[in-house]
Amino acid sequence: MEQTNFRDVKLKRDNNFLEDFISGLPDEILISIISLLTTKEAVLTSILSTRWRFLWRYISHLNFECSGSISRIDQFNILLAAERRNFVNWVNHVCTSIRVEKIKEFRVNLCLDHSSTSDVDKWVEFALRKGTESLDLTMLYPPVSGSVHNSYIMSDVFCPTLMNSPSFSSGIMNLKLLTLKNVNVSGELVEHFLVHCPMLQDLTVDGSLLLRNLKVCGASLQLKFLKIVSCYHLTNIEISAPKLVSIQYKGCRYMLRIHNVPSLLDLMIDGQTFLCITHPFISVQHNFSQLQTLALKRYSIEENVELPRSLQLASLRELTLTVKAYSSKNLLRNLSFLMESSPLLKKFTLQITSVPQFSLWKEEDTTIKHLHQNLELMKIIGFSCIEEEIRIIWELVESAVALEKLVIDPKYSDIVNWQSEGVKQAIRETFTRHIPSILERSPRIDLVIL
Amino acid sequence: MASKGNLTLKSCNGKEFIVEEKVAVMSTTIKNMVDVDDSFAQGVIPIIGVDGKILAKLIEYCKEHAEADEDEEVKSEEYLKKFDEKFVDELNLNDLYDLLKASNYLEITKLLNLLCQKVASMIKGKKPEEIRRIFNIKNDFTPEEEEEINRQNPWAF
Repeated sequence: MEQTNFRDVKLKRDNNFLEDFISGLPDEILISIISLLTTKEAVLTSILSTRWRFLWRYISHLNFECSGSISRIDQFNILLAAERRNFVNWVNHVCTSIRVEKIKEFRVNLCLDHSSTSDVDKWVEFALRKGTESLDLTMLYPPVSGSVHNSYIMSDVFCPTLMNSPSFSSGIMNLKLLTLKNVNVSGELVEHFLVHCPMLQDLTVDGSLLLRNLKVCGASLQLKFLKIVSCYHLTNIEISAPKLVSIQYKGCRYMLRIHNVPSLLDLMIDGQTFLCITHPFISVQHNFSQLQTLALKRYSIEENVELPRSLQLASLRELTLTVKAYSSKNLLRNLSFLMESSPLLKKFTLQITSVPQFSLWKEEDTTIKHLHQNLELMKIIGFSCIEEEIRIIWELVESAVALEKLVIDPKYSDIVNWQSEGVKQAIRETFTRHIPSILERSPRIDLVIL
Repeated sequence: MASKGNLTLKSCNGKEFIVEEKVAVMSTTIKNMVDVDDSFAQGVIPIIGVDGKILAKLIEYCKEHAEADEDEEVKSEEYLKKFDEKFVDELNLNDLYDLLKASNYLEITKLLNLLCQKVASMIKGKKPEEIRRIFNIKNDFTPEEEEEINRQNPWAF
């Protein structure tokens, strides 16, 4: 007997595993347990005892996450390249050893370069052939700007040879989630996935430099969640899918068209180039009154710009705006309009990337006349302690009569040492001096300086 | 005999528990028994291979979750999460083992997943030697076999 720790525990384990607290469990339970580990950890259990040796071959969740030195983002280190090669070979070995008919999840989170392209292609084929429900390829470095040569390029997984193979074409039908991060994939290939994977519900394409034109359109699409971000060469994107609940789009080109999305509840558009704030309301043909969350990032509110007067945000609970303002007065006029249009709003996050310096209005003027009854949480990001900014916040706080919490986050601002306690204290004092209702209102507004 | 809407469960060592039907049918196995044969709903349902102590634990878990399923207001997701955490934290290895087997046999999927998570968290990030020590696993490999496994999976070790 090697161990004495558990001698006092009564001997009731199954005969072969006296006093062993785990090995007597049925195969399916042990397999469920090791399926929850990363594949590296699951394979590691094969060394525990003969009982465990081959269990890992029956896991249905494959999760290859690299750790240690090879996770370092250094493409030019020869030693790391050799280690990475070993890792790739090991993944290949695991794939050929798996004995289950069907897998549920295939996830790779690796730092790999283009030399592994044919291996990754094989993994993708393997995962789809095994009918995976979830395929997540996340490459750990962003593709070098403007060049795809150093990063993984997904080649045509829909080539006729594969598509003619029954196990492949039936396996791919099961795909529900597809995440491609820093994977260079063309619009055509993404569209093939949409056509051939009728169950696809969740699609993310992040950082593909090969994506130029993309149509996510089709009346029969089951897609619920769509995220297309940081594909810097994307020039045209059209989205039309009746079951879409959530869209996240980040891209600098404005050939964006969203229509026929009757189920849409959450919309995030990061325009990146500070186009006019009215743009998204033109590109997106949607009944905005059913949206629950709306985030518009990096848009500008110019001098005489007005949001469409017909805009109703009757169901909106959460609003996030990152805007460049040219005039405080017009900014406030538009913010006031947005708040008035969203009577149920609970959470409002505002980042003003450049605050206009000069004000022409008198102290006693208030621009916001409407009192908001439901806003509970206001978050100001990038607060730089400019007088004009405090004035804007003052007006917002005064109008939000149900406000419970005001969070000030000086991150991304011009304030040096924004993390120091002294600076935090100074910001707090500025607020309580200039916005007395923070202290006066009952119950008191919780002021948090991050 | 249990009153209407209640079921009587009997452990392998003869302990009887009267539980509400909605609590008992959290177990798919019991649900199937009751659905197929009405006499189970009237009489006593024997729970083979599960002793009184473990059965009491199972009922404790199912009670909380059945009530939460019925009324989300009273028992929030957060409350259940806390309950689950406390529930698994208080288990010794012996009970953990027995509960895993029992929840597998009785098909209480939620609990089985919770317990698997617990065991996985005990394995995660540990060296084989530590895992063996925790669960008292005896290494029965010959040195040759051990070397072969290490050769096949050089990267993992």
